[in-house]
Amino acid sequence: MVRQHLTDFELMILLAVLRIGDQAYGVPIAREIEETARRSVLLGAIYTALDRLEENGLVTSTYGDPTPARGGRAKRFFKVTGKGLKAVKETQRAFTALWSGIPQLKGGTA
Amino acid sequence: MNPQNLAFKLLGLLAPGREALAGDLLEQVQKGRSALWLWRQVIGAIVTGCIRDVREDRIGALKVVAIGWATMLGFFFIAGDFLAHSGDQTVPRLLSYLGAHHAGVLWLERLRYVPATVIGCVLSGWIVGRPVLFYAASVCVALAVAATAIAWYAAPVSVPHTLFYVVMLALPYWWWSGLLIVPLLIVVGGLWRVASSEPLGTKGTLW
Repeated sequence: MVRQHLTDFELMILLAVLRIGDQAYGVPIAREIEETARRSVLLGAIYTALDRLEENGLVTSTYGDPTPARGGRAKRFFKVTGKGLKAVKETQRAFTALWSGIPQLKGGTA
Repeated sequence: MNPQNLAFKLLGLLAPGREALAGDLLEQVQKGRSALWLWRQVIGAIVTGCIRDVREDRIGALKVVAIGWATMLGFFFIAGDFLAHSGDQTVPRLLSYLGAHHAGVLWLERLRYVPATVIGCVLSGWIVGRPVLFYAASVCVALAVAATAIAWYAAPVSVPHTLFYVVMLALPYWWWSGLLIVPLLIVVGGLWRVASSEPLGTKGTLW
């Protein structure tokens, strides 16, 4: 069964991929999350989540050319699909709806 | 083999098909990331990969655990006594020679059970360590059962005969080593099998 909403980690990854654009592979995705969300992440966990997102059709991946700096291994670039973008928007809508109407979270006094 | 190469070798064996990840890690190491960082990433990748694979095939994981434990306990049942008794003469002589009895270090006699434990655990890992599967589940359960066996031993309540050899590595003197050694031996057996087999692919059922 495909879940309708994303986990917070999946959402962060999709947003990071969208922010980075064409050069979205493991290292920049991890850096983007660490710098922007201030959350320490494991590259392995990012790839595991991206594999899951790809299986659900939310991202696609393509391989670049192998480089000597990577021991002859290619970079795996990710791109968010239309379905992925829809899932991000839906998750944002759900979070925003949950967020509204909570007095403790108004005026930055959370 | 230096620690960095060992980390990449382990990643290749325990998280097959993660070439892009290995490339990312190498890229970062060459940019100055520490060995500690690399090991943290490799262990994390192995653990997350295992969790993913077990979640994808829970029944297969259960089979792996059952087969691993059946192998280990079956071996203990069939060959445990033979291996343990084969040291009946040599171990006391060795201890006498070392002066262990005079020093009151009688627990060293339990060393005679170590060969059975080592062979049983390694064999169990070897059996389940097929190229396309992870045997993390067996390791986790080995850990859990070893802990249970220790609890039984410490109670003290008698343990089933075949678990005796597992408990032997978790003597009160070596309390924590039993928790580490039993799963470690299973991993060693699994790695041995994986390293000596042709990889069948990156996807597939656990068993």
